[in-house]
Amino acid sequence: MAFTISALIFFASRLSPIDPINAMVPPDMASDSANLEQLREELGLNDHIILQYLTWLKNIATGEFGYSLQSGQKISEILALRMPATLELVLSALVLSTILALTLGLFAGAKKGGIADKLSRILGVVGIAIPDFFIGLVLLNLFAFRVEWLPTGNRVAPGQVTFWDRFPNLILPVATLTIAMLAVLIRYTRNSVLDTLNRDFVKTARSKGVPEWRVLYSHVFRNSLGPVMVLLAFRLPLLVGGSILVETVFQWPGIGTTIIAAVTASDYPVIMVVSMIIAMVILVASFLVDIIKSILDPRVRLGGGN
Amino acid sequence: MRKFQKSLGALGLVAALAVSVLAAPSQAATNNSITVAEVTAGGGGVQQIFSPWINSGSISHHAMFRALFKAEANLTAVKPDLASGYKFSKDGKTLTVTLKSGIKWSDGKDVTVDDVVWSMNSLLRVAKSNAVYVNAFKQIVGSEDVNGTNTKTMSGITTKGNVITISLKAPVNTFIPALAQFMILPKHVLADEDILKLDTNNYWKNPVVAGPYKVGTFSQGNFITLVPNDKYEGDNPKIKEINIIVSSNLVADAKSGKLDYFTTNDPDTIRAMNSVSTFKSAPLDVLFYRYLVVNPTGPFSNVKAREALKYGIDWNRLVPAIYGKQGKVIVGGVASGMPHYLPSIPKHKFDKAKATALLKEAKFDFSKTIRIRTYNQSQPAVMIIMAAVAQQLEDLGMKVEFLPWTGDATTELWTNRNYELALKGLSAFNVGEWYAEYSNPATFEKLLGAQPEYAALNSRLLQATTLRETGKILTELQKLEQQDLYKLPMHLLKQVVFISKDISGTPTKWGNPLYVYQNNITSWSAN
Repeated sequence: MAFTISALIFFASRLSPIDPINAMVPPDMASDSANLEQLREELGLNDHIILQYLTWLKNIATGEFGYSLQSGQKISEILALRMPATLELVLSALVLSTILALTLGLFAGAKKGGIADKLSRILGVVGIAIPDFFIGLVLLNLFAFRVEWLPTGNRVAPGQVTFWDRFPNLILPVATLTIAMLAVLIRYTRNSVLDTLNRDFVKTARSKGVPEWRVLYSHVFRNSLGPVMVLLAFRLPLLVGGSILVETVFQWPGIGTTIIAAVTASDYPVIMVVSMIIAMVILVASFLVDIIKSILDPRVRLGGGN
Repeated sequence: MRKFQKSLGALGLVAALAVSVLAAPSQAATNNSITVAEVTAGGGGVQQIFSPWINSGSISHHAMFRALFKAEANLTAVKPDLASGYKFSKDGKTLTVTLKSGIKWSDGKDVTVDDVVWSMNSLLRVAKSNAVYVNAFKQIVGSEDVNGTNTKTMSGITTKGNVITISLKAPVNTFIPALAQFMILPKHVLADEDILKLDTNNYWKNPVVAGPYKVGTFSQGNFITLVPNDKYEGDNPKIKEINIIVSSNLVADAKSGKLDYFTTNDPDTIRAMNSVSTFKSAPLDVLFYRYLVVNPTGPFSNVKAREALKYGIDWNRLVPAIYGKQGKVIVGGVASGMPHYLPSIPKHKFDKAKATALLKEAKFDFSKTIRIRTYNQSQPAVMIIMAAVAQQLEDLGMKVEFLPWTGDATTELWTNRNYELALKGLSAFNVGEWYAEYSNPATFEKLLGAQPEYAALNSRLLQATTLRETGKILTELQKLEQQDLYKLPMHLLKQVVFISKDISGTPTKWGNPLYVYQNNITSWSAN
């Protein structure tokens, strides 16, 4: 699967009508045609396409990701610099949205029609119906432009040294991503809780006089986690891919904005490496999902045995 | 359950309070610090300083880099900078430049004639550089021997002590202004680097420089802070920190005090800045051209069909409607009001009947789809004006398809050439650059074939040493341009400098912010 993906990524990038040399050096900025030819040679663009693919594959396998056409920087350095920003953003949103979704989903399912249920339905509809970049723009307009409580973007501004200095920069992008992530997760949790509440073991526990909080926590909540964990595992690729739109709206210098900048500048080595890494993480995440499923549901077995 | 709901409410309240306490809006201009927004290389936030050999003019270039001469605001007159003076021989072919002594790089090493010679030779070795320097330096004797694949140096540059002698193949009237834009880089730092890819070298993240400032903090993706260069021999700069950021919302950042200086030609930003009372502005006439490249191989092969575009589109309504006073309708490379403008050139005048007649005369093939292509599709003003152009062509009876480029504009314009009309822009150092495009083998000549007439006139223009001669050649070029109409000039666009009213000591007369000139940066101070 990994080979197929790598071939797709590589050859798709070569099908693009963009000449990387022209993308790097527009003709009216080319000092000499011989210099451009030399550059093409140095970048291996004159090699046969199969040789280029095999070289790229070998380099990727050995961790040599090559250089960005746009900045000249090592792609591994770019990833090392950008990944912490994306992890900070996505991990914060993932943790926050999980806590909120599990809590709200549990109480929404436990008391249908209650305030938690109504709130979760509103959040669910808002999060699903409205794209995350739009939520970001609304929050930006309210809190950064109108009341001016929060900064308009960027991760670190001049003079911000500690984490707490730059904490305000984190609030709006994390809030945006949290709302976007919350929606599906709340609905999953709520439905799963409702489903579990109707199960026999819950009825048995209640009939035995077990306190309601214990029924909810020990019996309902734990047994409702299965589908939710699967959904969470599928969000792992976000940790490396970032959220392109949210990062762009808030000028967050993570992997998402790196992808946008690379696509805009036809920086195909960066596009290929980031796509490949995201594809690999998706493969790992699906494998994880299978493992989680097998742990949570004994009916599912790994290895396909009877 | 009720308890839980109360807890949720309390949590929300605490979060809101925390936000309001933590998030006081930042203040940019303090006594010792200002923040400027500029385009940096690399994309995706602040990556590195743009190589001044590609584009100069940003505040980081003004603050850190130096040339042999410093241009005045008009970019033509110069004063000494690294050089103490210069002298041309009587025939205009030998230039003698004397370098000042005692000037240091920020790492403490001396600035020497070797740095100057190395920089001038290296300019011809890099893959990417500004045409202003390339065109000037290719006139130096021996320049043809130097490129990225060899280690030769130009035989026309020699040194003796602090004196550099440059021999030219022919007089070049733009040579000194070009040298005033050409930043000298440190040979001892860069000589062993891959010069071909100099523009992407790590040097630009923390360059060794000779100007009044150097990089203090480099926070990749976030900001760069410039601090005074203690090796600078001139006056100590009054501002102790210049923060360079990339801003995606200039107006909001200016309003909230996060920003003190930026330049733009975006009409929406300029309009919105009218409401920001803490800023003053300086609109500047610069040679920023927007025009249509007309592909002469299809339906517009007849010059009459090209001429119809002057009358079939209401340029005098479209340009002011979209750009206001910022846009100026032009009919050629030399705009009205500029020296050597040829007033006999017919102005754009909306006359649908005349346009229709011209198309008929040209036997225009209305069955063919006119493909209009554009770059800068992210700029609403560009898309609006091009959509209006498309609409007016449809009104003339043409079938029109208007799309942004799908690939890179360069390949599409000059290699693929699948268009009839394409928007192009040019930020020119002087009017000669506009006409030099016609005979550029890497661009227009790919579309038009060889253009010996333009090439000869351009060569003469470069060598003209008197105003009279320059005027005569520009007149010929303007006539030739009208005769061919390969480029349909639309408008010039003013660049506007916006600066916080808290900053004083700025120049009384601003120059073109796309180039470097004497902008007194060491005298700027923040109140």
